[in-house]
Amino acid sequence: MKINITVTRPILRFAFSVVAVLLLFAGLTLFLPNPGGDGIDWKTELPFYSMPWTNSSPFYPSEWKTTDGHLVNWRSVPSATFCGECHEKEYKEWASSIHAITGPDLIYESAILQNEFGSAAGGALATEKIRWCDGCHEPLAILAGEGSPLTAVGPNEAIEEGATCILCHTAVEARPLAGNAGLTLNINEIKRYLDPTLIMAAPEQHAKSMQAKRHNPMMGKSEMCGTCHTEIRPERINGDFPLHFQETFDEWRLSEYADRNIQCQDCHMDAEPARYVDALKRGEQPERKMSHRFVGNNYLLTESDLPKQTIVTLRGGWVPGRNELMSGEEWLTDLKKQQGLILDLLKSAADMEVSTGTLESNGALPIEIAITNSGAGHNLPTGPLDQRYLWIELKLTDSQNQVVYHSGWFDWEQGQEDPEAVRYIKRMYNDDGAYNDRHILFDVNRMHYERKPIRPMETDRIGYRVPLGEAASGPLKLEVRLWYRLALQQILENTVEQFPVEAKLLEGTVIPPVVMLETVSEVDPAEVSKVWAGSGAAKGADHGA
Amino acid sequence: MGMLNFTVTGGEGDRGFEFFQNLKTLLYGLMFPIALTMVSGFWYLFVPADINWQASQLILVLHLLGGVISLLIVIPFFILHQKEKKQRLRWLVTPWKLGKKSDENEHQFIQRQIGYLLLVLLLLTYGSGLMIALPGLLFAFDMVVLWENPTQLLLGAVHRWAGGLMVPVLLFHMLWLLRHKQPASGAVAAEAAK
Repeated sequence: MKINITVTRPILRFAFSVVAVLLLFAGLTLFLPNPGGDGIDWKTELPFYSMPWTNSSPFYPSEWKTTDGHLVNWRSVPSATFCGECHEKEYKEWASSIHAITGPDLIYESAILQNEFGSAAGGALATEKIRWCDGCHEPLAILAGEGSPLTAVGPNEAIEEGATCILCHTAVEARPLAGNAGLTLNINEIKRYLDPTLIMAAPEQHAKSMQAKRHNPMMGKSEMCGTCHTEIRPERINGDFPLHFQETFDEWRLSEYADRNIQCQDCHMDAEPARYVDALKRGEQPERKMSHRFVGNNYLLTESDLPKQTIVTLRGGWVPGRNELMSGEEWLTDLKKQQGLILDLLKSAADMEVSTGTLESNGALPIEIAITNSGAGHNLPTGPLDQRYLWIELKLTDSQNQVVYHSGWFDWEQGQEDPEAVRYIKRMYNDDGAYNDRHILFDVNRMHYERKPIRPMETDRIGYRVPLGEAASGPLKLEVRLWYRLALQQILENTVEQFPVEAKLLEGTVIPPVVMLETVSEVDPAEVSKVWAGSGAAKGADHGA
Repeated sequence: MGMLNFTVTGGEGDRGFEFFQNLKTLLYGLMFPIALTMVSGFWYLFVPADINWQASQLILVLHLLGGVISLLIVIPFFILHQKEKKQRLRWLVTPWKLGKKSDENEHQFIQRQIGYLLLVLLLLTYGSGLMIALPGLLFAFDMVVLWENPTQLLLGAVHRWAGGLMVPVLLFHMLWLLRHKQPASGAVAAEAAK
């Protein structure tokens, strides 16, 4: 049998061209020099890099890893401003977030220096120990090798940024239960394009390199966030056992939010987180409107009504990319918007119910306050609980506006609340038993909750028995507030010690609390008929523990 | 000898008249850029860039260059080819005009259908390619204009699928086997009759 094949010259030319091109490409692929990653091999290039505890991880005690095991090259790592040239929307959202200033934040810098140079546990290896803190707060600095007494890291805008774009967007593996920045990055494998325009010519390759969610679903999972929002002090810093300081990821993991597949990003990376939380409360699970604002809790470092120099100093400087991508005024306006979103989110986190019982024969009025963590996918409060805390204010005034009872007052001059208030705070104590209220985590030996945080979807009930005396006969105004505060006033003492010049700007500054929830009602003790069964061991004017 | 009889023919060009010579020249000139664009496109799609990043960058540049050059040649070729075959671009939107004509045989009819299908695929491939490349071109002039993510994904999908389908359709359209022993058509037939 004969097979007849007839082709035209154009087809033949096409076939020859295909073969020639294939051979050309194969040759290019096999023989064109292919530069490897530009990571720094600390073994050969930085023989003086200090690694006192392990010879395999240059970042320990932080849990960072790079796929090639090398340090990041400080010369070539791109900054958020670089990314922002194309991703302007994402950049502007991030620039007002706290992620942008996790390192430069003055209060953090003061605390870090206090830990490094002012703590008992710092010692000779203090700079190396700081890798534990800076791993999450100044990640690129640690990844580039700054956490060493003799460092070879030069100036780079990216290093000055906090949790910047290139970190999350080169993450390939997350270890959230290890915490302490337990992410593996392929940051040293990211190659430079011949020209940035080629990024746009083949956007899918860029999306793949930058771990777009469709290529790496981990980007939309709580595991990503949990790597830094889990903080465990290793015993090599101090102590005989690891101390768990922050457990936000684990709080979420054990909650029904994890069961319902509601991830951190769903609320905290929505354009209007409070709206999303309200939808969740209604039983809906809407599609997220993506935002890089990372709305959380820091209403202080977004308070652009502070004198301009104060907010800029507190945030560690003007926004990176100022006057290139956004003006200073635009940024200050955006900070205000960010603060609004933060306050809305805080308000949506919980619900409060106040009920009163029958006046007792001894003239005491039982009052019960029930706080339900109805909106947060983690404990309330969460995070560094030695500083982030809640307390309850309860105030009764009579018809002449005389205060009958007041628990949980706040002194706006001194920046202190009623020491007898019901507080959701974790007190930390040093080896010598001294109360550690300045976030010197190196020296902490033990911790104690004044009142444990409220778990997701759970209710905490606090009972008061308020002695009314003569006021018992008339109507009373009952005000109950749930206050949230970012930090104890004492933490500013770190700034006074470490940055005396900048501290002058903060003279007289009180770290303000904000009201999360508030109810005002009228109570006529003589007419109250509800019988309050009570819970726990409420004693006198004291509240239940 | 053996079982294989391989013949190369110049096709209707053997009749040698100026119009068709121009058409043939364009077609010959088109083959290399088309081959370059197609092979580079599939190479970039299927061969991981990590094997040799520099090579993949160069191949991407060649894909863009090949696309532009082939587009510049395809346009005049298409105009002449349509004129030769007495077809109309607007018949894309009037599909009832694509039905079998009384004076054409089965093979001509099929070739005409395939031709229009190829035209659609060319429009989709080149159109999506230009749209994908547009932000890069604007960036070179300091303008940052990006497609929204869903649009970007759609353009990429259209470009890959239309480009992929175009290869077999093009080959099928060009294979002489379909024209073998068929009477000449259009202007070529008129010239031959003189």
